[in-house]
Amino acid sequence: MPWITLTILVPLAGALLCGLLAQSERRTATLVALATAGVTLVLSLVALGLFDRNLADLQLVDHLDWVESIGLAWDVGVDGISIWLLLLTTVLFMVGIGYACFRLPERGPAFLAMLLLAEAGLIGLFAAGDLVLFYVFWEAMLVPFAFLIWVWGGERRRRAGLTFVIYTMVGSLLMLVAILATAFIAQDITGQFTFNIAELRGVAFSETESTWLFLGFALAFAIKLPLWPLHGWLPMAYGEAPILVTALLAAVMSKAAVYGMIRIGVPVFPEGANNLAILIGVLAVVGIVYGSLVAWRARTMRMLVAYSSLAHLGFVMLGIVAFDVMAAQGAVLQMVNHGIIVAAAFIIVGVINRGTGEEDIDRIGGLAARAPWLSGIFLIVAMASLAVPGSNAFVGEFFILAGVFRHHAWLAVLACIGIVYAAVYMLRLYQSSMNHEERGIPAGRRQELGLPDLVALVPLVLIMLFIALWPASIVGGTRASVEAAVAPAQVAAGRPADQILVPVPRNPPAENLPLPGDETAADPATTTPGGQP
Amino acid sequence: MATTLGWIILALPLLGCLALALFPRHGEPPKGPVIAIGVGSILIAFVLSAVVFASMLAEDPSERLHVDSLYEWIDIGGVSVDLAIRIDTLSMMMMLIITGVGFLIHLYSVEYMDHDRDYRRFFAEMNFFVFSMLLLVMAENFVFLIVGWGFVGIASYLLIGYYYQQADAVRSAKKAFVMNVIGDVGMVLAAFLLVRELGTLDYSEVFARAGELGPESGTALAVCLLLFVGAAAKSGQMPLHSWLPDAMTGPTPVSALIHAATMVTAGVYLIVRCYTLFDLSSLAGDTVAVVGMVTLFLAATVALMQVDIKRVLAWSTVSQIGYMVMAAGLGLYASAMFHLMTHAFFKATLFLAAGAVIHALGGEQSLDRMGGLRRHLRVAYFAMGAGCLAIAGFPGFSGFFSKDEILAYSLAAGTLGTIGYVVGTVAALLTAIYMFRLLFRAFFGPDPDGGYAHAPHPSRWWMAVPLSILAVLAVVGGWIQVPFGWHLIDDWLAPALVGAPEISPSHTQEVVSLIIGSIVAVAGIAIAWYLFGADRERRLRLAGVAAGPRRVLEDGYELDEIYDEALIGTTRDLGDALTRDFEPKGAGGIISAPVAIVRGSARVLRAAESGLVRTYAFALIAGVGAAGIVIVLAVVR
Amino acid sequence: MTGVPLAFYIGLSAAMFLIGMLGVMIRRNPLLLLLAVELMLNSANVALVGFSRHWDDSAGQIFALVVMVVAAAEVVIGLGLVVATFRQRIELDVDQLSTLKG
Repeated sequence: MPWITLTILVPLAGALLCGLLAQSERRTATLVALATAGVTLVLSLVALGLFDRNLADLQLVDHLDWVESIGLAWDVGVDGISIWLLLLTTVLFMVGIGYACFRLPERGPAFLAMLLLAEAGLIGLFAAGDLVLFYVFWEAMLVPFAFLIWVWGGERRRRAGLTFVIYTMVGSLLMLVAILATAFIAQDITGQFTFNIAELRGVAFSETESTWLFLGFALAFAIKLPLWPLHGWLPMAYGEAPILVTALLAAVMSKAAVYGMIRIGVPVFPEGANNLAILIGVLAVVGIVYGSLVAWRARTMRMLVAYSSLAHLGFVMLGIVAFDVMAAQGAVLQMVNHGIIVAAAFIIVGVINRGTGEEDIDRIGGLAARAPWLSGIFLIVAMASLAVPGSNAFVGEFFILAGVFRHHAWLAVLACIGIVYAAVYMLRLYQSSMNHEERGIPAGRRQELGLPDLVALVPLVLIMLFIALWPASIVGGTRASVEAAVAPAQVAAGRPADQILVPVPRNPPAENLPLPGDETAADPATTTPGGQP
Repeated sequence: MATTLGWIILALPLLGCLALALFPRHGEPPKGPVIAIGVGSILIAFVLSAVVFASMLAEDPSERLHVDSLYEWIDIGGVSVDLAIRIDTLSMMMMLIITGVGFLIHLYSVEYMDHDRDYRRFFAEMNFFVFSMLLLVMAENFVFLIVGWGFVGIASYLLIGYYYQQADAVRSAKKAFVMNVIGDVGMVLAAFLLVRELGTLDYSEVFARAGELGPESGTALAVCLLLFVGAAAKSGQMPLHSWLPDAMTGPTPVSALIHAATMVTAGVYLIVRCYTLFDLSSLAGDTVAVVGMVTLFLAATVALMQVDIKRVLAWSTVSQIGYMVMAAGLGLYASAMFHLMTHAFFKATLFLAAGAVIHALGGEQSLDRMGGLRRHLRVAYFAMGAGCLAIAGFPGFSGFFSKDEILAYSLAAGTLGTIGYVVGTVAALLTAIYMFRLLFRAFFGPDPDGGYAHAPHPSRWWMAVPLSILAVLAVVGGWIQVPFGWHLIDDWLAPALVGAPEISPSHTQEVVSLIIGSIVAVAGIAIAWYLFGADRERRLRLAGVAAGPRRVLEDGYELDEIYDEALIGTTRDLGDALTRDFEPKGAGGIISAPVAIVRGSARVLRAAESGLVRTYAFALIAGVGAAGIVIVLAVVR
Repeated sequence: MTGVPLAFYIGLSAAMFLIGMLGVMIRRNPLLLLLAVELMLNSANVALVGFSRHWDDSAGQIFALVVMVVAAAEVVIGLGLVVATFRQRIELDVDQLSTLKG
């Protein structure tokens, strides 16, 4: 069975179905959307069941030639990195669509269709094994998200949607150029024209080529992440989108960037990545500190969580550009953690906004007495978000920073400032809304979590607890792929041999290249005559 | 067997917490089951700890180490971490203190929290604390040490901010949490160093291979100092102490359990646990000892001036932990643990007695509005008296033995130890003065002016029994380690402190220290009686003397103000400036450039889109014509 | 090779194309616009057939057939739009149908 292809096509089909429904058929639309999201979730779980944790390469590959002459193909599959993001996507969209169905906005069927379209785009992105496919899905998911902001957003939704689209398009066009350049330059080197990511790994780009190509990709990723100081679209989009869409943007879409970095940027262009690693690392750390400070002083709850997301994603990026297996594995785990936590945090912010009709942090207080369940779950989420030891985010951040510390101790130490400020701003958010005397709570409204909220939040909290108790369940599955992904960059960074755990692919094979220190003894059969005594 | 019971001991308070938190009932459940679960879980944990203790007593000392792993928690980048516990003599001692004192304080809380609205929440959070503290001391690797470390931080945060409607409780809770996060960062960085240098976080392996860090190396020093940042934050050592006095906004049983008897001594436990590392770097040990000295002395001076009964005790806690930290820094690990134990007894006694007073007076905490309570609250009076005599080091009471041990052993620990002895002795005098100031002002003399607003009522047995038991322990707790007699604590801890330096005082030093210690205690009590007991007007007459320095002391050397100004204020301003200026203009500017370009070019180009079909047709034909002319010209040329 | 010379085909084709082009540019009625476009397409067909005969290659005739099919499809859509517009009781004048103005 082409499981991964099905996982992409099912939400797509669901989206078409929902899109074709008349806007009055809300009930049918919710049923279709729920069934679609459910089936997709089950399919992704099947993929997890079939997944072999010991393989580094893409698995469960569905290959279909499309335009062979120019190397286009439908190539989807999962590896130890993308399987978790695939699951994150299906789980969060299941939760999100379920949550949306309880409180369907105007033009509900279209809303659900857009959500499903976004899901299909994201799954395709995480499963793509081909640069062109990656690009197509990268752009495809932009469309539904733009519409979700544009049509269902807040007061300034037009401007926010437009900014979001244009700004991310600028980045992705650079990526398109980089993709084409990669294929052509690789053809010059290897004699074979391909967009296949696995085949492009190990292509011996010159250092300049590698740097420029990496830069093309990195800019797109940096904008999407967003990396400081390219985060200008974030407050606008996160602020204006419906809160559920904001949750999904922060939880899933932002992962596209870090995923691209560890899947394409670092393994395909190791030299370029190595040249820019410190720069990106510094920007990530600046983002961590900056995001934390601005989150601390944010006016609305939603902005606070939005900026905290900037800070948390800085950790993930830092973990990837450290070229350390531990840090990168931690980063993959942290992608999942951050997705779950930030989604829960935004849902809670939405609940508080709804229950009080107030967005400002400082105008409400004392909700804990009215809503003990809300305050309890919020506490867990807040603690997880500030990565208190014992939470799932702690596992991720701890090992990211432990890995970073091995190579750039100063970056890790500076990033720790963000940990302290995370405590400051999350406690500000929690205490000002839940503690103190009651204020700003309108009578006659329900502040406590309702059934829909519980249905959305309880699974997320359970997942957090599960990961906190047994992180090996995820981390173990990432090892093989992460080792293979960072090994070329480790070679480029000149790390000692004992840290490089897997052989690095070379394309064309090593013996054709006059590289200094090339170990001819490794493969005596291909040594040139006279090369060996 | 020991480890199986260990897992059960660890699980019981957690289960208690979960059962209470998820109690399937709307609103406040009946008190009976809450008490049964909340107190019962700790009681069973204590009984089981005692069983494990008994079984360990039966073992050969060299075999008193049990490690058990439940499952592999993570295996990442070559570092494997198990969810594992370690029961050795050190953690056994801590377990007994935590569950034993913890049980008594839980029992006490049954009555103390009787009037409270959130009865169940209180016990759930207390049980969570006991679980976290047990995890901290039973962990077999640095990861779960840090996890326990973080969890006790949460529990402490929750219980300090228990009265969450009060602004100062909320503020203190946040302050405690953030300062502890600073400590956590120190611990985490130490762990990073260990990962980098040794590639493991398991105690057994780290301590076995600690030598690879190199004796007196910079790495060893860094590891120890970073660990000590965590220890200092948790244990209220200067300059990270200022959260502890503020933490008194929590209910009094919380102050007794968390902020006196157990959690705040975790820093001492940490240093003792990592003695192998601290032995590698004498500079680190010296730093720890100096910080301990500074803290124990400064905190004692501040305690002299506090008016709030709980803040007196809080500052005295800071000071007493300073003794332990100094001892640990000097390498007197067993002495530090001995004082940790006696301190748990007498400080819990003092807090619970103070709690009995506060409870009886309906929440009154100011010494200015107390007096003559001796006549109203007999049990509290005797308990407070026993506690004061113990902490002042009155001969025969528990604090006498443990404090004397630290001081006498310090004499044998080089120059720094001698300085420590002097500082510690002076502070011991201050300790006797401020504790008996509290006793005399609250319990002696006439009733306060205008009488009591809330007539003092004696406590019922829920409070009286645990208080009495602790008072007895505060008296006799020191008898298990008597100079020239027996050294049960040293012997018990010996298997866990293999290879620690053997420091023991000469007979002369021991005798001198005993005599001076006794004199100091009696003198301190006498001074306190002269100032506060014999003539109550004398205090008021002296009130005008040196008002400036007194205010500085009352404010705890105004460190809070300095922190507010220097650290919090500046970064807050920075955050505001970034939000106000950089965010819209800088980040917004970077983004608005491409957006403006796209929008601008679109505005120009839209003129071409007239919507008139014939214009399009004309443009099309003109374009084709132009292209044709170009081609023709090219061909002709 | 006897018959009509190639120049005649080209001439006819050019004339038809010019008439069609002027029609597109001058007329405002969408129906006549469509007719004019059709005329231009057929002028191309004439040229194709003429060249096909001249070079004795059937490709040109096949091409003409393809063009016819495409033209038919185009007219279907065009007429459909015209009818739809007429149903809306909008005046049939392409200058008025300019809602797509940027």
